[in-house]
Amino acid sequence: MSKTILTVDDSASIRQMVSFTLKQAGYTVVEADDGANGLNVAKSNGGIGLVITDLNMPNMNGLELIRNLRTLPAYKFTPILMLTTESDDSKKMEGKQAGATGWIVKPFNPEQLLKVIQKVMPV
Amino acid sequence: MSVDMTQFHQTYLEEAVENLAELESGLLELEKAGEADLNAIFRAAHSIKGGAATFGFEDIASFTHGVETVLDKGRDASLPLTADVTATLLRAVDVLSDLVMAAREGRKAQPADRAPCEQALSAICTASVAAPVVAEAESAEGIEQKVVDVLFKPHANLPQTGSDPLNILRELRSLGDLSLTAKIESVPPLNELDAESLFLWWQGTLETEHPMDDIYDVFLFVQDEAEIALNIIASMTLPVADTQRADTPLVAEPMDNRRAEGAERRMADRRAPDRPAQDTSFIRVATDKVDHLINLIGELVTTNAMVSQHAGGVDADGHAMLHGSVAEMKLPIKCTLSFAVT
Repeated sequence: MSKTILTVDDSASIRQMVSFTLKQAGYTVVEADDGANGLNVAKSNGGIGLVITDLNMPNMNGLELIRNLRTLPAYKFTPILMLTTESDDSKKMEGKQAGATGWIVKPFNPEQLLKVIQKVMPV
Repeated sequence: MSVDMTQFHQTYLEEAVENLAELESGLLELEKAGEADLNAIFRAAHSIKGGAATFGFEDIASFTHGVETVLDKGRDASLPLTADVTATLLRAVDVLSDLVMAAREGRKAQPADRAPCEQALSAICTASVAAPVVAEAESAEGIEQKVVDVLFKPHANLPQTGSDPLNILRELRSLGDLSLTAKIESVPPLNELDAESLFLWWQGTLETEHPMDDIYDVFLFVQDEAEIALNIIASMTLPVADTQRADTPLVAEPMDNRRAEGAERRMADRRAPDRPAQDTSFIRVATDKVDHLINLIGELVTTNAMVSQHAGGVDADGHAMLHGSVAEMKLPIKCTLSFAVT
């Protein structure tokens, strides 16, 4: 069975790029367009092995999503990667405190994305 | 894997138009009412920039960066968004619209107001810091083979951020010859054991040709959640020339002067920088002496392996020490051997 990844981003183009790359690499992908929807998808889908989330999103931002996910028993130890911009050193710290496993620095290309995923969820 | 990024351009540009509309209406509201949802305005600019950088619209990305910086400062109140500032931002939206429209039509745009607008934006953020220039210090000095002493002592709560120490150890192993001992002395008795915390830690050595940065990268995500110590305990630079010479055929056919010159230059190129031609000198040694040397080294290798094996019976502290010294022995032997053989 292929591993399922949840990608949460309010930007359709980034979501499309992430999804396409992951599917091509053999992963199953589920999408959500903000934190609130991401949390719902995560709750209703039991088999998610990794979450990739943007930070700046309407309704519920990435940090809140991470904090909420970590309170759910099923997501206590799930790797969660956040998308962040280079200058955001404080954001990385905030993210780690919220429970993020690691980060992917924007802008990124498909190879970098897969490399970071490999780091926290090796095949 | 290669992904054709142009397939996402259409979606990105449509999205950019929407974000531009949001940015503009937000700024107009700010201009009229003196306040607006600054987070939403910032997010729109941030999205335009992020996507542009990802999908290769450098023009749009670099220009939007200035807009985003001003908005970010406005958002955290470190810069008051006065009427003047808002007016400049609205000018920037016009420039940005031109850039996005041009990208949609597949042409290159050079809006006249771009440069003045950029200057105005950067004047607003006088405190803006120039992007740090990352110098690529790539060394071509040959391959540095080294033995690194590794200590990895994760905090008990490491698993709670989704990090699996085994993944980290596997990644470390992929860099070279890894030999680790798991330390179990902090593991509490079973009835006191918290199954969601981590009590193990690891110490040992990694023999690798990778630069130290690669090794630090393994621990990138857990550097604040673990005690990590990496120390080079032995290192030796193997000249590139030595490893390449063996499979370089010697040119034996006669050649004219020009070709000979070229061949000489090629030979010179292959020489390692730390072994210039004039420093190379030769001595004559009887082959039986060389044989003897190789035999001696062979014996050293065997002894090294035996000591490693016997070390299993020693207690924890003694083991670590023994292990360290054996590991230190391994590299010079290996290097001497390969040197003697070549």
